[in-house]
Amino acid sequence: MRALSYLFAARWKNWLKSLIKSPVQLIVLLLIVGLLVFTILTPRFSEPEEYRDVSELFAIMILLFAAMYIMTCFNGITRGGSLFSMADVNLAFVSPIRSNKILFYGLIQQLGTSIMVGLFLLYQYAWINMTYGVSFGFILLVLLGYGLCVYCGQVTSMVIYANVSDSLKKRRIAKSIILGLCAVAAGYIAYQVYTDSRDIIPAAVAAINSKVFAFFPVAGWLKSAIAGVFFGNILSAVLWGCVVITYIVIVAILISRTGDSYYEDVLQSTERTFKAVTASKSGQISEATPENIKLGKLGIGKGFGSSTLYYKHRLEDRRARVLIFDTLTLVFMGVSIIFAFFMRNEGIAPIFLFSTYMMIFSAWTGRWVKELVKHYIYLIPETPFRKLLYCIRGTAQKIFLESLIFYLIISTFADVTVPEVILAIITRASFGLLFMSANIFIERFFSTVTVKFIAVMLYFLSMILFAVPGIILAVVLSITQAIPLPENILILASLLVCNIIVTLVAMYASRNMLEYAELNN
Amino acid sequence: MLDVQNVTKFYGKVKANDNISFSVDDGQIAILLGPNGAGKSTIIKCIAGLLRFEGEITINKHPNRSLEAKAALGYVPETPAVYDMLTVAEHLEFVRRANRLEDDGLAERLLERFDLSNLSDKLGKELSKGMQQKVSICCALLRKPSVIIFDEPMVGLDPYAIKELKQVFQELRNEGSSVLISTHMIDSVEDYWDIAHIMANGAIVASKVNNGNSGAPDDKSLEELFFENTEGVRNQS
Repeated sequence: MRALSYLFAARWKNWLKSLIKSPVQLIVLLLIVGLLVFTILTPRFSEPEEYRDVSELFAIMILLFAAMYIMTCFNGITRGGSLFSMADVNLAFVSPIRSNKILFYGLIQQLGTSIMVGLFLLYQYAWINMTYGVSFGFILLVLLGYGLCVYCGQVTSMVIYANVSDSLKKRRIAKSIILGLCAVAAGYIAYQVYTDSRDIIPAAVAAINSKVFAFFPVAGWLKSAIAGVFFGNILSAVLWGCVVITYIVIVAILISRTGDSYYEDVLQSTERTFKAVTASKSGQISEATPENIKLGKLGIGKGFGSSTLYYKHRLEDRRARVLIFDTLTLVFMGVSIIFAFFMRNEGIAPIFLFSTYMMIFSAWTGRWVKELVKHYIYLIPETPFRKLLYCIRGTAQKIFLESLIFYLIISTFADVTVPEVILAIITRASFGLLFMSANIFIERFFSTVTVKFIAVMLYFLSMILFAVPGIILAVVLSITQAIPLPENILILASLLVCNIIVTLVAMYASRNMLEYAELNN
Repeated sequence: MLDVQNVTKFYGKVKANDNISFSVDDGQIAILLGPNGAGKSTIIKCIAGLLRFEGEITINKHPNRSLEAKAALGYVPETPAVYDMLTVAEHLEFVRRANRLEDDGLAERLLERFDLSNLSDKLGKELSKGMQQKVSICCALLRKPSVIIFDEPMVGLDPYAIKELKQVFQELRNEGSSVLISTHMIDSVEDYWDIAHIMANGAIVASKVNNGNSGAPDDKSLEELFFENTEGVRNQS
């Protein structure tokens, strides 16, 4: 065990050392912390308002937890899960250390990773506090719950894979059980909403927060534990906390009972993860592709010179079964539509704010990003700017289409006017282009930052900074009322104008991005 | 013709290439030999226009980042990079279209030659590393480059493909192309090079023109020259 504890400590020590050795990483880390402090302090500058019912927040939390748990388990059926790195497999697995100890080492290591995955939740504090009046301590508790939820999902996926990987029939049964659980939960909510005399939203929130839902595996238990702490019901918090811990212990025992054979089960998924990480480190981006791809019509068929890039992207999108949008964009659009339904009587402002905010998380998924990490585009004998324009054409089209479809849908139930909808479509699309140009700007000027976490944070920071001019102009014009227009129209128009200017400036500054690659592979 | 003059490349504070100069004439095969970390791949990527550098690189007398240079250059990277969602044949179609080349049947001939014809409808993600390397080589050759650079081209290839590739090298030389091959495997290049540059610690430490075996007592083999010039450097580092 001393070898494993040494390994654990050495990894952390070396990570801290690398941070100190690289001033850029340290500065970015400080910026990230600064942004977090800003997020925490923001609510202090706003007037206390009437808060929404906190049970809505608990309902959102349980849905998020359940989605994460279910998706991780579902993934476990086909791909398995792994707590280990390739180095663990090659060095620790073959060393004379008992497999149970190695498993314990993996479990501890994974717990830290799972909590790190949920750090984005901390940045949600500002709006959550202003909407529901909860403290930062509560968000930390949610983060812990999220980490535990992902963790439980991962260890469960290991157990599932170990038991079903050898038979297609077993896999089908496992899938059916998980889908059945989801169907029962959804049916329960639907039934409660149907029989409840209240409006849909309060009825759905009540159903999700009901005692029955508290028994939903992991997600329900964790939510109940967090709710126990929040409402001062310590007995409930301890009870449900113990249930979660017992679950983890049982799952760990189940894994360890497979003896050394769990090595074989995790080997394949570890190799898959290793390949993805190696590809990522060497500048390549691995694509989440469907297992069985239908080739359909063969050949790119169109394009000559730079325009070939656009038609190639269309072909790749078709193969990836993305048709119009990628899965992440669809998920975020769905979440935004649900939010809009909640806020349907509050006007265009909160809907626009939220849907644009969600776009930050899906804006970096365009196919153009994947193009940058292969050498082909740099060798095409055409001007860098022309190549860049054709490279982003498909993504730009999707951004407009996404905005159009989203606002057409919400206009059917939300309290919005036609001019507001038209302007919101264009302005939201301008935000999409703004975020994309921020990405391009970062690729152009910070492409040598190879630490994934830092690079991701740089993306988010740049998007926020690029949006600032429009927000300032909108606030100033709204306060001074210098232009006699309805407030919503004025705000959207000023955002639109600033976004276009910032986007054009950023694109101009990045026009030679495709001249050099600084590829690391 | 490829001309590299006084090229220096830093990765942060690390000097990966130190004032490198050499040239590859038309109809000549040059090889870059060196141990791991000698800076071979870095200079290759500088030539391909993928990295910023200090110094000057020209391809057929055009700066390497000019459109004329890009049109004349073929590049086979060390790590084969293929598109997951394109088939083998579509990779070649993409390169042909992007380079504004008419379909003259060369793509099919290359696929045939590298034993890829029966895999032409396979997706990039379904190929083994060796197959991906073959696709990468075909993509570079499809452009009919007058200057072509290979970064460790033999890695991952089966003996049949290596034999075919060596034949391609000879043909490219006979057609008047400038060929630059980077490798750390001396055995793989022993029989077809015209000029060899040995690299260590980012610099060229020795060069040798292939005059055949002259029989002179001081005429060292490439292997002897390699170890003589790299072991000392390796011990210092």
